[in-house]
Amino acid sequence: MASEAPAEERLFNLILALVASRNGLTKSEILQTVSGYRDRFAGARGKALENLDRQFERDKEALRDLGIRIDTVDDPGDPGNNQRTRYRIPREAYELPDDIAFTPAELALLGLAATVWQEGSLSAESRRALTKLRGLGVAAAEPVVGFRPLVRVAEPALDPLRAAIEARAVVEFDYLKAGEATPTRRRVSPLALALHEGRWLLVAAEADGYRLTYLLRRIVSKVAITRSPAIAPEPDEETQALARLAAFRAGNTARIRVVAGSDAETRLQHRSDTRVLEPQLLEVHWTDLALFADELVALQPEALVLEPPELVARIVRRLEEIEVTHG
Amino acid sequence: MADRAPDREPRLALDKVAFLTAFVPYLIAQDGPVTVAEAAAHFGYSEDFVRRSAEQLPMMGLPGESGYGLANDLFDIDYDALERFDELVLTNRVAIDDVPRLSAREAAAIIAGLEILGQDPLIAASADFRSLRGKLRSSAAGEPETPAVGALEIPGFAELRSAIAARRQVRFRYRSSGAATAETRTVDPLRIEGIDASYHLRAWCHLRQAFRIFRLDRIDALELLDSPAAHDAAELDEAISGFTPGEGSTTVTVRFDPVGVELVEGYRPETIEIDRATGVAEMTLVVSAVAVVRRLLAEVPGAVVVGPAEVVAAIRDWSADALSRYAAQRG
Repeated sequence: MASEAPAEERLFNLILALVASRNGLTKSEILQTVSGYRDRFAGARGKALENLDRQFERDKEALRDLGIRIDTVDDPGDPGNNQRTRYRIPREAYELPDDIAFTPAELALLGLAATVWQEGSLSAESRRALTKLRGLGVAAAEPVVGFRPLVRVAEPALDPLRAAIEARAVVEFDYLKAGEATPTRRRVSPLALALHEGRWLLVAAEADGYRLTYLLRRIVSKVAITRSPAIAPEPDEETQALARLAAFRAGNTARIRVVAGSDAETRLQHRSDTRVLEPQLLEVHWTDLALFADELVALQPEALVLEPPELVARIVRRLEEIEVTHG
Repeated sequence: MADRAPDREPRLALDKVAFLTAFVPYLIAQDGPVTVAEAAAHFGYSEDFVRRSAEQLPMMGLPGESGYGLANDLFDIDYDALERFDELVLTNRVAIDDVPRLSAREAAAIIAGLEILGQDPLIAASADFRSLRGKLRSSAAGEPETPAVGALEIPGFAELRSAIAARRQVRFRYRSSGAATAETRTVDPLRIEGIDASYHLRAWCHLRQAFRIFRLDRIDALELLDSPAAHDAAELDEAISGFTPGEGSTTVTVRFDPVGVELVEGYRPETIEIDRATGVAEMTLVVSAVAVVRRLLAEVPGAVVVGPAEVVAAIRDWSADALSRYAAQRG
């Protein structure tokens, strides 16, 4: 058996063939003629032919992942017969529109934008976007050097949720509410994702349309994408969610006594909405009670929380657990 | 110059295809010969990868009438120019001349990265930033579902960015981790680096006569000085590349409820072992400060440090001390 051509050659050949063909190609024409298939097609029977068929299906998916639209045209004389379906890539849908040009300064910024994501599909996809745009041949200007943000928080739930939002499909997952020992199963319409204070949030709707925000960090199972269609998002779902969070945060107030000159003092005082009531007495706002309690536990004993009682109770309970388990 | 260290190559077939779809239009768009080194620097990949991709091109093209590609149906390159001068010249092209569109998800990903950059007020105010979002949307094959990015409100951020852009020194009060009192530092601010939600300033510290990292949320009483900065970001990068992680880190073992396994991944443990039969999970992680362990204990359900003994003791003393303060407050 001849050594197989690498996958990227087969995929690239498939793109070229489908772009060049004015009237499209049937599957059997593709398998018989396109390099990467034809060598395996010759004399293939039964199982080998099925494998090749599946390969073609996967390859079509791969091209779609690259943003390449593949049109299918039924044979007018034999509609519904998929053996006679013709595949083609319309050139106008394939090519970047002519009127789009990027300046060297814009490319420098894009180069920086593509390195922000350190993990997962956002990283791979933004780098792929940059590679494609570099094909325009515009040399990037000297990059902006004063700010270099990296996001490396790796959330296994992020990729399936992005896919579900795109597919407008209902999802299911186990969610571990902070402070609770057992997760509960959730079934929601995913609407939008937001990165807020270094954490990924999912804005989702329950069956009656009620909006809830979930922390991806607390999704403890695989995200199952169901076949049920999801509630459609409003146009500015993310902005609304961020605004709801801001209003919610403003209403959550704690009074905390901090040790002068301590790390806790500096850090709590640096939250943008903290008010200094008197020296070492701070009014601090939070978005998520359980998470804020977690943060404060880590800042003990330099930040004594005076109120609200539910925050004090959480901190004390957690400290007691820690003391007992480390005794 | 695109990337600083063009020593990489794409690993996934999909990324290689994306490169090929961009590489061909890039070669077509060149006015004159372009060297392998120039193309490699432009795309941020290794020269070796670019050379191999060029050599791959003549094996790709159209099926042709017969099903066996004829010469004109395949790409061709000037082998002589490649071998003698390391130059890339496309001598026959087929089917495509233009760069492909971005997929909706590719556009969403890079727009989201751009939004993160836009947390910097100087970048957000630039004309390039404002023009890019629209251009990226129009470059996409579908409507991008872009994750939203919350605003960044860090006191001092904007002032520091202006000082960096103006190449001027700043002075501030700073209390190092573990230090009893704050010191006044005068520094050449060079770059703000963000990792997730924590932001640091990289600067040349005139007090320590060395490049230092400062946490933004520990900087107080920031003042912009008139004196020009004496060091620049290029020197900083050189200094960083010679840096090796310090000692003084400990490997701790933490037992936790397996339900929180996704949570502990965020702490980048060295090992995780889950015994499904007993329902006990254990991980080891290298930490340089006990504060990391405290955060982990606060966040992960059922987390207990099981070793080493001195860390367990430190955690016990710490929790007891904190509890006594709450008890005093109540009683």
